[in-house]
Amino acid sequence: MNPGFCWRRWAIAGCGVLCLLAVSARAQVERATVSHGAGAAAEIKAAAAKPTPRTSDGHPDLTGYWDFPQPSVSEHTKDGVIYASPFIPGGNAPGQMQGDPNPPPYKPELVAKVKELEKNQTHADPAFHCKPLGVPRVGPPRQVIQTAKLVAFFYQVDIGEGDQSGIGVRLIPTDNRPHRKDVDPMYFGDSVGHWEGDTLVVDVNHLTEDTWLGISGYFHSSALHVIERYTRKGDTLTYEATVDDPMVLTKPWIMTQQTVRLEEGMVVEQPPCEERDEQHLVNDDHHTRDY
Amino acid sequence: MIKRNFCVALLASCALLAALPVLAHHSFQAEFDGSKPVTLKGTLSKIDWINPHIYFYLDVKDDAGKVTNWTLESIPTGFMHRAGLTRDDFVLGDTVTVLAYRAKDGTKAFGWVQEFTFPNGRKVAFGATRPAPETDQSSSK
Repeated sequence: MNPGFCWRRWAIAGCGVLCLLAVSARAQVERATVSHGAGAAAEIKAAAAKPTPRTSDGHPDLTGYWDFPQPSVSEHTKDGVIYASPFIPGGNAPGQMQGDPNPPPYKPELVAKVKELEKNQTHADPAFHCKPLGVPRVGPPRQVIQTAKLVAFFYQVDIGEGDQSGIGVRLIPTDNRPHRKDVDPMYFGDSVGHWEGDTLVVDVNHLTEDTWLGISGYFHSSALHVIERYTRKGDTLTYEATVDDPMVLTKPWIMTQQTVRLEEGMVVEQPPCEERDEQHLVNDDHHTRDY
Repeated sequence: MIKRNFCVALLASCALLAALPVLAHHSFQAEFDGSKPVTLKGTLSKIDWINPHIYFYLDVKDDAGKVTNWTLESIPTGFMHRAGLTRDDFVLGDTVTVLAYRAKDGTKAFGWVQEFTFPNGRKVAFGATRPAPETDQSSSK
């Protein structure tokens, strides 16, 4: 046998193993840390130490453009090459994810279904097919406009999938009105908010079944009820969600909290999301993001 | 030297593939073959600036003068914006060079863009690593 050919075969096999390891590192992980680098935590901490602006009625002012710490545009260019991905040379690296440390507590008889859906994510996940991520999977808003009796949330999902064409908007009354009863199930549901101290608490119902709670097959029923908590501290906004669905969960699930930072910016209209890949997929390998 | 270059190429490919799964809404390995790179030089004939993947269309002429229109999948629009690139940076009619990886399902003239080179030599890489030149073992034909 040609020694060079043999060497190549071993090298290719080794490469294959490495690649498989990368694929198997699928997980639910804290979004900011994985997507935006190990320095994200320090940047969030520094932003949280700043003063918290308040509105005339004394509540923290959530108005602003919020985002996970990101590499700047200039950091995307190294040695004259533009690296157009969240992962840039010398920065954070993908493939460092471990298993989901905080999975929803599914009823034992549904665990197999969750695993099957996870395996089949590229076919079964509504967001893969361009449907909105919905509440609570969408996470914190990208932009907020706060008035005395109404808060407007604007969403933008950079990954494209699960994003909505145009600008995704949620309107949340904070005037103590009850939930509407004349609405259909929705991706963002029906939201009513109130303040508990410095935290905006949003109660969400009328949520469609056509979303998942996370990428790993986390389906839910139409009984889904979510209580979100938005807390501004300094120039940070922390998103927490308690997810209750007695049809599929054994107890309410508290999602891993996410914290975004105040930035200069403004949401932009998103182009259409058109899924064209499914016909070309030769296996069920799917992405490793946490949302 | 050949063996060393091949080693460098393989390691670069491994790093590349390890980086790719998180960049697409499906894994790279589910659709494209990292062992089948192809370098294409052609005319940018169309762009679908959509999510979750931008599509570039490239008219590539072979030595016999036959033109093949390649469909090249890329990243979401938001990733482009993060890197400071917009739709206007890509000009229809420009002659560009693309390093791509062919589709696994055998679809002809369909691949994933790994590196895009503008007419002025400016390069855009769609991953944390750039493939070593040695990985470019195929031609567009």
